[in-house]
Amino acid sequence: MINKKTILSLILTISSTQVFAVPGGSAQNASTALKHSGKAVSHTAASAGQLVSGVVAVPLLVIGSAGSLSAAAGETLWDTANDRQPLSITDKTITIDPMPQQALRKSTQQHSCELSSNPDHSTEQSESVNSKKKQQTQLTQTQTPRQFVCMEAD
Amino acid sequence: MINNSLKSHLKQNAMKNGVFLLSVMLTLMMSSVWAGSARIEKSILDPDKVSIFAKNVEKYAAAQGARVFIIARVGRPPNDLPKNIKFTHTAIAVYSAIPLDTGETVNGYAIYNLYQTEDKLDKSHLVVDYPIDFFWSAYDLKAGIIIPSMDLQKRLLETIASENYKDLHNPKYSAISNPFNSKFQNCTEFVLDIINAAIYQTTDAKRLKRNAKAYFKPQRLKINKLKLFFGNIFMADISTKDHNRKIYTSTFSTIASYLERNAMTEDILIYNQDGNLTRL
Repeated sequence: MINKKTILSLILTISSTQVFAVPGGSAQNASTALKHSGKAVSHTAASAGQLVSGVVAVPLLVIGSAGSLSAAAGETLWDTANDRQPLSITDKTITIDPMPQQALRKSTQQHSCELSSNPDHSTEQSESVNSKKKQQTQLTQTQTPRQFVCMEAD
Repeated sequence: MINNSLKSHLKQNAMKNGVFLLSVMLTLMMSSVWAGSARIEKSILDPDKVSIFAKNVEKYAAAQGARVFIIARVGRPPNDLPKNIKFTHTAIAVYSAIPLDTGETVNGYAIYNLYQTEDKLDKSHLVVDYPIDFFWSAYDLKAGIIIPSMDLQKRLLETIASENYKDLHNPKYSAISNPFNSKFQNCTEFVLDIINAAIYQTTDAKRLKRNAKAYFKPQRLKINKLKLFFGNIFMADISTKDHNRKIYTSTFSTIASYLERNAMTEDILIYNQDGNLTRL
């Protein structure tokens, strides 16, 4: 017979928040949070440097002339690193996601490219695409979230 | 008499059902406790403070001349952390040239992470992000920092910049993965695997695990058996299949000890919000 003590112990046992606060808490939170961080941090940019979006980081030691990996270039830079000389760091705050406005502009432009690059469009469709492109260009210049929603509804 | 017996039987069943429902409810609650850590979309702390802190950590590491360092954050309320666990997420920061979407290229640290996949909690994927992203959901503005020896930094950089980096990733995720086998992998085990791949110049999983078992001392997690039982059943990101009776896993601190024992560190410290440095 399960009594009140058992129930109580179950509650105390299971409801403890300490349960799985384990070292492997490699949550995805950071990358999802970034969708919000741009907006949140932009208001405070003055105190922590301008907020900008990084594209693809390239480890500095092994960057070659064309951005590809190069052991030779890396070796030269490594000699400097052996001295533990201080490295320069940008004052800008970099995130993996662009600012909301930039993201909106990018997705609009990308959408436009996708439409125009489709080879199967008929003439009528192409005209429609051109019309949309014109509309999008106008929106890009004076875009607001509301206008974007209207465009999507089309 | 029959009525009394029936009542007693029904009461007993109701009690059993109640306990079952309670268990399920609490287990789900437990699950949400964990998931709360996994899917936070808002900064726990003041974004301004997080931003400044992240930049200060970067500047500190750069001032030390660190090309590559191991970085950790506190992703759970400090009071909830089990004994001997100081950090919940570990990754590797690499000094990089970072092209911006403005066309400009700047220097800073990019952070190489294994992250749990948001909609498939038993899976993970690799993400390169930046310090503010890394600390965005921290509960406490403390950074664990291990600056490896220059030789190891160089090896780590070569490993991360090579195709081997992706080969070291095992997408099967368990938050309490056993570092001595390849059944599952969490963020910290991934870092350990990268370190050993860099040291031994191999991606041979069997060799990496064999050497880990020989030289690496993991952290024992003392988790209540009942909690573990329910977690194993109901939580996709908790598995004991890769463990024997006792649970051992890798942590930021055990990686620090491993490197220190083998004379492969320049510095091991905690960078605090006020800029003070403390020993791990």
